[in-house]
Amino acid sequence: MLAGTASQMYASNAEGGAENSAVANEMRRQREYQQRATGLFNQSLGQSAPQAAQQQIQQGRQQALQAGQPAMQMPYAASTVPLPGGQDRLSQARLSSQLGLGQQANANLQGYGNYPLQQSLKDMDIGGQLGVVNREASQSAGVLPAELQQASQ
Amino acid sequence: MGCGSSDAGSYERQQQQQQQAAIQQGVGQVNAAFSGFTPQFYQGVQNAYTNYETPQLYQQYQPMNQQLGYKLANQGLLGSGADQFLHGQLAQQMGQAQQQIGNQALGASRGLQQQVGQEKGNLISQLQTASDPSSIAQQAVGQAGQLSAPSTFQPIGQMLQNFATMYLGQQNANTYNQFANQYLSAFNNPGVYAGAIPQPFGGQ
Repeated sequence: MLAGTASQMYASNAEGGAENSAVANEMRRQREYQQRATGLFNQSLGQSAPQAAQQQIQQGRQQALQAGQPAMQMPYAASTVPLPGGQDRLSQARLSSQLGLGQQANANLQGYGNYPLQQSLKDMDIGGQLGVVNREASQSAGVLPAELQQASQ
Repeated sequence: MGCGSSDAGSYERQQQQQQQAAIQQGVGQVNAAFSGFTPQFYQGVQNAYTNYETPQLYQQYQPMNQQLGYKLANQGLLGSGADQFLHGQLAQQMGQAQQQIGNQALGASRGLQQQVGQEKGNLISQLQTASDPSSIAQQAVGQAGQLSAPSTFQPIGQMLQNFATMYLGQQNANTYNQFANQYLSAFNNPGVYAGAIPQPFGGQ
């Protein structure tokens, strides 16, 4: 967008050193904006790589496990009549093991839900920062015609 | 700087070429990064889904199978044709439930592929904005982050409920019907059960 504007301005003000300087300065500023934006893109790409996805999934698993801890610590009812030979303890250990396995399986699955959430949050964040760069670049480019007009007078 | 109009045109062309090169390089980076999302990655969510849902299904199946056995035994129908039919129906429901879990696991895998593909598209939009910060492509980037929603996975619910309603419930009904038939039989044959059954209309 800027390049087209600059070309027109150059065409109509080819002999003005001040104008050329203003355009060159603006080109330099736009390159800086581009570098900032490219840095944001690289940051975003790094946070979307498979390794990052695996970390986000693992983080989601840990969160699901922690969320299930209070439920795991709740006492559950034993048999109304004590069973002989310590079978109560055996029964409770078996139930506890089943609950633990179920919780682990649940956490393994829920971990995958964290990936799109983190990606969405990251995209909103990067999108917001790119928006700031975009506005600055657009505003800077918008000042150039006025600068050229002033320089030509 | 000292540029003329021809220099400006050249500069503009150079800038455009740089932008295109940056986009091509960035797309290459995105493709290289996303090649790491292998089929094994997507298989992971499929396995996790199956490993989560299948034990729940068996937790529903085992007591239902036992309940069916108890009811058949109570009615003296073990080893009968009814036994074979009802266990066959239960096995069929179980097979359908397993298939349903498999389909949902596959759906979870495909959903993850869709989310990864969407993220790839978001990155390319960001790349286009980054290569030309003052362009209008920013609007698309701003919207991209709002498209994804975190997915949650729910327990399976009552997958064998149809069997329980149709057959175990029906068996209850049959039990009550059997009792009712005995009652009606006694009612219709007052001579056999004299005094045991209250007679309507004073026995007239």
